[in-house]
Amino acid sequence: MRYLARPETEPGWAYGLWRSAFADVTDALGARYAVYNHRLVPVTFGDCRFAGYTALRTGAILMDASGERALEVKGPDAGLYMDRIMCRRMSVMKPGRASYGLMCFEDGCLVSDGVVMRMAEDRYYYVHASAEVFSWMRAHVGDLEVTITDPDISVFQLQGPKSLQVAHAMCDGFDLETFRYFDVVEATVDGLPVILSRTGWTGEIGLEVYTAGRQEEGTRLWRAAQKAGEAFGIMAVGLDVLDMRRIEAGIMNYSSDFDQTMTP
Amino acid sequence: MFVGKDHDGYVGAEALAVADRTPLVRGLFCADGECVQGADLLVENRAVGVVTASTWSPTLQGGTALVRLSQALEPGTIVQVATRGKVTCSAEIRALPMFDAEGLIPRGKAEIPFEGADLRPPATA
Repeated sequence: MRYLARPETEPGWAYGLWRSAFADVTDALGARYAVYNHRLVPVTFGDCRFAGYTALRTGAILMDASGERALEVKGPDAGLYMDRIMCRRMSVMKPGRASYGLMCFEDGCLVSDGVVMRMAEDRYYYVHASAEVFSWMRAHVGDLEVTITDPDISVFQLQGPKSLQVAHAMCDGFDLETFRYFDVVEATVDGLPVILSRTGWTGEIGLEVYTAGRQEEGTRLWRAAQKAGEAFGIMAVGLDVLDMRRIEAGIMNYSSDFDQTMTP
Repeated sequence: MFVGKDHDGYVGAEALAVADRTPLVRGLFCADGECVQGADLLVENRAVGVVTASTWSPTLQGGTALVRLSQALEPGTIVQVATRGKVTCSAEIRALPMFDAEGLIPRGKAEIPFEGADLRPPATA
C-alpha cells in the first residue's frame, strides 16, 4: 500500500506543500502526487508505466521534476564557498558546466546529493534532492561574501533518445551540436527565459529545463514542449516511469537508497 | 569517484580520508519476479540487507532493485527475497549500474535499441 495526493478544489489546509509552475497542467492531466522535498511531484497520470518506459527508451518523455530544489549561491566568494561545502572542487569548474555534487557532515556522512551548475564566475545553482539543505548551506557561509537564496525554480525533465531534438524544436538559442553531457545553457522558449542542463535521472540521453516563472509561464513551457515533442512521440509521465529506468541505471535516491547515516 | 581526490579542506574531508570504503548499496537481479520494496535479503535465513527500490525491467527481463546491505556482499552472491505475489525467490547481488555500465547512452555515445517486447513481469510477479 502507498498513499498519493490528488487535487482538491475545496479551499482549506494545504500549508507546507509547494506546487510547481506546471501544477495547473499536471492537475488537468489527472496527476496523482507524492510529497518529495516538501513539494508535490506527479507520480502517475494513470497510464501504464510500461507505455511510459517504452516512450522513454524509444522517443521522449516529459516529467515535472520540481521535487528537485534549486538554491542560488551568489557573490564574489561563491567559488570558495562551494569548495568549502562540496566534496568536489567546484571553483575550477567553468561557467556553463555542471557537476554531480555531494555535501557531507563533519563525520563524513551525507547531507545531500544534487547537481551543481555554474552560471557565472560568481554564481552557482545547487539542485538538490530531499534533504534539509537550505539551512545547512546558510549556516556555513561564515565570513565569506556570498548569499544563499531560493529563487523558487521549477524544473521539468525531457528525457529519451529524441529529447534533444524536442529541445531543438522548442527553444531559441539552443545549439544541438555543441550541447555536451553536463553542459548548462540559457535559452528562451516562447519568449520565456529558461536554463537547460544536459542532465537527468534516467540514464537516457536528455536534459532538464528550469524556469523561475509561475503557473502561466509554466503552462506555456509545458505546452511548448508537448507541441515540439508531438513528432517524436513525447509522453507526459510521472515518477513511476522514471523509477524503472533509474534503478536499471543505478541512480540512487537520497533519503531512501542512501541517507545521512552513510558516507559516499 | 564522487569525491574529488585533489580536494581537501571541505566539511567532512578529514572523516572521509579514513572512512570505510565498503560498498553498502548494490543492485539486485531476480529473474523470476519483481522484488518487494522493503523486503529483507536473506542468506541462510539471516537478514543481510533490505530492498530500497524495486521494479520490473523490460530491458533486462527481470526484477531489478537497489538494495542497502548491512554487511559487504560481492556481486554474484545469491540471496533470498520476497517478490510481488508473496513468492520467495533467489536473486543475485549485482554491481551498479546494471545496464549501460559505462554510461554511454546519456553521453550520446551509444544507442542500445529497445524492442519493446515482453514488457511485463511473469504472472507470479
